[in-house]
Amino acid sequence: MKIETRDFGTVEIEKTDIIDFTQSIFGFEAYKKFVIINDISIGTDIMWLQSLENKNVCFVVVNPFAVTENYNPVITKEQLKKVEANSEDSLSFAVIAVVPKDIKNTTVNLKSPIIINNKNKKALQVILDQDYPIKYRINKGE
Amino acid sequence: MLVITRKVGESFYIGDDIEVVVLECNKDKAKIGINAPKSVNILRKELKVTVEQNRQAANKNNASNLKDLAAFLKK
Repeated sequence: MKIETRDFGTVEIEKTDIIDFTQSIFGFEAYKKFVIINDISIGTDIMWLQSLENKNVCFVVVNPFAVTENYNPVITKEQLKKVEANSEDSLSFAVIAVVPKDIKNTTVNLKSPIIINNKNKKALQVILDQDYPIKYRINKGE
Repeated sequence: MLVITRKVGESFYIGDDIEVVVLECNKDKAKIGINAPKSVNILRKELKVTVEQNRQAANKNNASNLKDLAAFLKK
C-alpha cells in the first residue's frame, strides 16, 4: 500500500509493517498507526516514525543501544501485557529524538522509550521507573 | 520553594479544594494522595516533560542534516 509521508513523499509499505500503538505516544492521543521508515544512506539506528493518519505527524527515533552502552530498560509485566509480549526478548526499543537547528544539541528521551513487539507490531511508549534522562544529549564531544 | 514538613497521615491544602495527603513514607519514596476536583489535571513530572519533548520532537526538523546526526552515534 502507498502512504503519504512528511519527509519522503509517497512511500510504498507492506501492511505487516504497520505499527499499532495500543496506547498513544504521550501528547499524540489521536494517532495509533505508524510505520518505521529508514533512509539507507543514514543507516538503521536513526529512523522515522511516520503516522499513517496524519502525514505531518512524524518523529525521528533512534536505537537507544547505539547512543549509550549503559542502557538496560526494565519493562514491567503490565507493559509487556499491553503489547501482548511474553518477555523483553521479542521487543524492539526506539527513543524519540528532539533535533534542533543546531544538530549538535540533539537529545533523546531515554526515560520514555517506545517498545515494539516484533511479533505483532503492537507498540507503546513507556515511562521507566529507572532514572534515565529525558533529555540525553547524544553528542558527547562538546 | 515552600517547604512543609508533614507526618504520615497528615495533609495540607493548595487553595480551597485541593488536599494533598502523605500516605506512606520510606527511605527514598513517598506515597501521596490527592483529593482534587476532576477539572484539575495531575501529571507526574516525567510524563509532563515527556509530552513536551514529544511535541517538540514532532516539529519538522531539517531532515537533510540527519546524516550529521548519524556521526554522533557510537560506531
